[in-house]
Amino acid sequence: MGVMANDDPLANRDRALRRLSGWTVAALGGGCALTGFFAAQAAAGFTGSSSSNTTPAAIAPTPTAPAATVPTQAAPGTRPRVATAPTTTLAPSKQIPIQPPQGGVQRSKGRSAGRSGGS
Amino acid sequence: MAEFSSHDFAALGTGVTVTTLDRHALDTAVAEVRMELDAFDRACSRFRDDSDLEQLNRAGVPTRVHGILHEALDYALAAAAATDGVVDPTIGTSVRLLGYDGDFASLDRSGPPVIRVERAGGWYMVAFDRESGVVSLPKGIRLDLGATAKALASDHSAARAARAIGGGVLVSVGGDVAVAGAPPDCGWTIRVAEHHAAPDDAPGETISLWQGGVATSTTTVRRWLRGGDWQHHIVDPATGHAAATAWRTVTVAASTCAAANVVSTAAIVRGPAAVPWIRSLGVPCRVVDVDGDVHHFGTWPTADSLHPAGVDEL
Repeated sequence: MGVMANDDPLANRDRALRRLSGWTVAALGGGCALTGFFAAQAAAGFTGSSSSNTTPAAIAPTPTAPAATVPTQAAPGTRPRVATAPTTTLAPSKQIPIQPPQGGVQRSKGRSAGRSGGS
Repeated sequence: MAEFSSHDFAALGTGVTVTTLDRHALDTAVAEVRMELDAFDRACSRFRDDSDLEQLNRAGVPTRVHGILHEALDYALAAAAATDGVVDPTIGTSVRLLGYDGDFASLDRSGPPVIRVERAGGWYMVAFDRESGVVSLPKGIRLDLGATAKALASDHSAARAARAIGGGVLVSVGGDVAVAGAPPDCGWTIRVAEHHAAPDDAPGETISLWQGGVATSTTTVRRWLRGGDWQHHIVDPATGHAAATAWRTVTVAASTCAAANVVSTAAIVRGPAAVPWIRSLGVPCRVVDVDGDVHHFGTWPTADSLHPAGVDEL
């Protein structure tokens, strides 16, 4: 069975324009999909990428040497502020109990059992 | 006044005193203290190539530590955290550049000027997995546990000796005093002075202590000349220079000698800025400023007459 030919030139023109419009929409949709796909692939290739669907990274950092490893030379006479610990290292969890001695300290006299001083 | 027996000997590059209430127990106590200090020396000395610490400093790769070095490093890092880095074990390179590059007894007391200083590498740069004992030191960082290990050794030695003899013991390692076991009723009498070997009639104060320890940090004893300038062993981690402070000697008593030493060392570095912190801790603290005036903070007993301590010369 053949296709019925339409001799109306206006109808032929309208059909051709609709086909062209459909191809344009399809091409644009495919282009957007490919752009999104490749963008996602590129983003995943860099550290720091995130996704709401992924599991958060472990809190405990890996014990690798940080980039800045060489101590900075201090300028003579300057007193830079003491840096505080960043959160990316294995901070010690031990706490030092700094408390007064039981019984305190009292003044005394007589022969000493021991001496405290510089050495 | 309680009777006691004492024995003096040298260890860890300084003078050690062991005192017991029972004179028959003194030899045993001394032997235990010697063994403990020897173990600390083998673990934590930066003047022995074969020490665990020096092997770690040279390793260049993640290294597993154990035993005394594990505990000493753990304590040193915790001390750094407790003092916001004022007492920092990563000053190993800094103190060497200042000229303290060998055992103090053989150190050249006068030398050429210091031409380079380095501030501490930063305690937070040390990756220490306490569970596995694996330590990673970034390139360029050398550890020096001198600010905490000696006092920790004093605590350990006193506890070990007290267990061995079943009685009270006082151990002084270079002036870092720890007591353990049953104390005398009137407490352990301890002379506090600028130098740990000063005689009883030297300027200072005598206190009684029943538990814990007493530590003194000073800029006037372990010091040397470089280019005509005095250097000393208490380094400001923030600058790499010998700490320049308004306080020359600080004595602190605490529940352990190690804790007392953390406070006294930090107080030397920070000077008067440390007063609010010291008061918040509630520890007894005695300070001699650079003019020789004595100040008391916390719960240190005040004296009727105070004598400015003299500076010990080389």
